[in-house]
Amino acid sequence: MKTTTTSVAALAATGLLASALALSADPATPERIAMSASGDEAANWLTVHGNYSSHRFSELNGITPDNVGDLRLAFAVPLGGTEPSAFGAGAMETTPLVKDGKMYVSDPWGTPYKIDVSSGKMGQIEWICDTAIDKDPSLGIIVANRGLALSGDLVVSNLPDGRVVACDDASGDIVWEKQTATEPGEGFSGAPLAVGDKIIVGQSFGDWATRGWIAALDAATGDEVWRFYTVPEPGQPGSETWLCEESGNPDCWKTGGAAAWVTGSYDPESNTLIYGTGNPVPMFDPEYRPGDNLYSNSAVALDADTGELKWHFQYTPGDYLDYDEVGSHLLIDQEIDGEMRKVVAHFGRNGIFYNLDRSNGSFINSGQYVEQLNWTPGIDPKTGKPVNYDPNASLQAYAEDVTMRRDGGPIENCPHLQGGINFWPTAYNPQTGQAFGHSIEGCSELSVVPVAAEDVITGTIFTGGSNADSGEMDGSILRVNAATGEVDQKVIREYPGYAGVMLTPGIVWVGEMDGTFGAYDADSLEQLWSMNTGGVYKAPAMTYSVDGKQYVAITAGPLGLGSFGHPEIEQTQAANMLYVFSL
Amino acid sequence: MKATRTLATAAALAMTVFAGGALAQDSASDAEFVPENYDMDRGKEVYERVGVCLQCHGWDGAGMGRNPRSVGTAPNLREFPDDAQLLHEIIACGRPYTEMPYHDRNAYSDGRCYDMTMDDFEEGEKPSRGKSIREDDIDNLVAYMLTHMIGAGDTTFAQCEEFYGEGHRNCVPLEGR
Repeated sequence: MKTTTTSVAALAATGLLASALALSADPATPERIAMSASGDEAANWLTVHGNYSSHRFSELNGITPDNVGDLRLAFAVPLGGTEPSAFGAGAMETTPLVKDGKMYVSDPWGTPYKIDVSSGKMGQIEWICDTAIDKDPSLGIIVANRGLALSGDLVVSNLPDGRVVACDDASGDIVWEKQTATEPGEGFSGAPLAVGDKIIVGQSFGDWATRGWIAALDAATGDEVWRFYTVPEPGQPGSETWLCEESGNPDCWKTGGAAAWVTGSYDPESNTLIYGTGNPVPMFDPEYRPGDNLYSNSAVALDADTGELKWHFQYTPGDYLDYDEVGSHLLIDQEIDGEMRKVVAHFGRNGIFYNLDRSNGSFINSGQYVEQLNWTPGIDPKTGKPVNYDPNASLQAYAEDVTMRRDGGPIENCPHLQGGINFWPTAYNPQTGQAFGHSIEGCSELSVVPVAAEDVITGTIFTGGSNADSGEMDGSILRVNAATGEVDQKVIREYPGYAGVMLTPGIVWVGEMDGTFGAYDADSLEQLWSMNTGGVYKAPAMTYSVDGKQYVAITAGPLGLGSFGHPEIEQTQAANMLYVFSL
Repeated sequence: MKATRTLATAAALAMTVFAGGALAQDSASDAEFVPENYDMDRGKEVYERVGVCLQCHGWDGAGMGRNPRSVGTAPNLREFPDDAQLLHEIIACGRPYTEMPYHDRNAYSDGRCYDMTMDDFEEGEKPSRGKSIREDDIDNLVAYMLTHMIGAGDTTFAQCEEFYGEGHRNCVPLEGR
């Protein structure tokens, strides 16, 4: 009996000790997240896009253009999640988070890992929050996960199977989990966003014949607080842009897509969320879903407390080239034409850089950033719409010979259907007013393959056409004057951009599909340093510091499908890795 | 221009393929191919996990499985000819000038497929290599396809539950079909 008593007492003591340790870790409060990657929080990267404005810029300046040549690999950590779905091994597209010497990173199936990086010599996995996700190799989904959210003492992941799971920061135990996405085909790819006492998530799998939405959950319980459907139902504002009756299928809006694949931005001053939305579905066959198809291919501004739509701007109405606009929306305060403006800036997948007014979504200016663009003769300088946009037409025809129709032939569209810049993040340096992107340069060949409404099965991929690359694609790293939208520096790279960029003072950080991770001079865009680690980079870098020393981290993984005409990289094997570099 | 030439070449080759006899193989070339003599459970496994055929053809062979990031459009195998030899040949040799890869690791090393080797193809038009499938497993796969896909008509809920298991969420949208 005595032994038992002693053991219980010992356990209790241990428990107390554990609690004390847990308490000693500072939670990710809203105040801390709002300061992420700057000021008192410059050592940390507390939200997926670096800060709420999605700048992916860190003030850390231990690594400079002068000393980056001495950068070396400090340590690496193998991660799991290489189990394939029917579409192959999932891509590593995640951005690690760092809080007080601990790193939080997800694998392609959304499984969170907490890694102690405080020694600077190795990454020690502290826990893996196993969500028991069914890694079913026959699931016809694209496995990809773009990161986690920290909220108080929770580490939150949204999964490809539609669940949202909150893990305890100290133990990795599951605190709550919710099957937030319940319809066939629904699931998540973009990182959740912690805003105040809420977790914002976006349903991602529009192309599986689903209807997109963005929802807010109570961070303490996971209970859903509000949901905004990116495709309105009949009778709601915007429903007049789905002319489903004309297609003979009045329900075409129900599989309309407009998915939220990527984490949005948050403007604390106006308590507004700004998310980009995906393409209308099916992507290549507008005759299935005549009309402008709101709120596809749009920026939507939502009240963070209620989910109410404040404004929207649709980049490419009635799209047929898969020019969705899920990518980063940069919140910028800048002088334009002599006037200080609060702006939303966005590198469109359609090859155009846009500036919008953050208070109402009105168009300010734009500039073409890709080398080849043939889908529109230009952008109307007043409205921001493609010049041949006809608000009264049920089917748009933006350019002769580049318009998709069931009775038309194959077309060649530039930029490539994946962009330009697709889901991978862009960045902005507020110290210089410069925006940076990592782009595909090239074209694709598309044709319509109509599918009858009765043959559309929710949860099954539904594109309404087929596609091929136009030969070998190039890529580019480029800089835009954010105020004018004009490209002022660009370097062409051998491999298409697919990973995105991160900025520190004077340096642009980019990973590439052939396994090259490089640091580029922010002025000349000349490569200052690089290392080839062999895996495929489809994720952007991030940076943090521990005990005053700066580190740069990035994850690499498999190619998956799509070598963009570069067969030499098709044999790259699936090995999910975290790499951390330092001087 | 390139696309046109490729399509023409593919069409010519397809005719050759359908004329039959391009491939000399022992097992499936017998006039009498009896699916029941092969391991169909293994065939399903090959379809799903070894060849990962469902990536392009879909679990039911309807050709709707294709990855939106991949190229090409897979044919509907449910409407494919009931021809064991042809199936075996296409799985082993692929269909050059289309996206259908070959699954015999040595398909184009010794002329066993269409009397061609890799050197017979121009740069950029070489057949693409899929997951390797062993000879016996190609027969098991052909047996599975002939029994569960070829000529199976429209996809049904029951077929889905047979593939994925009872109550699987993938089958919910097919209820009533």
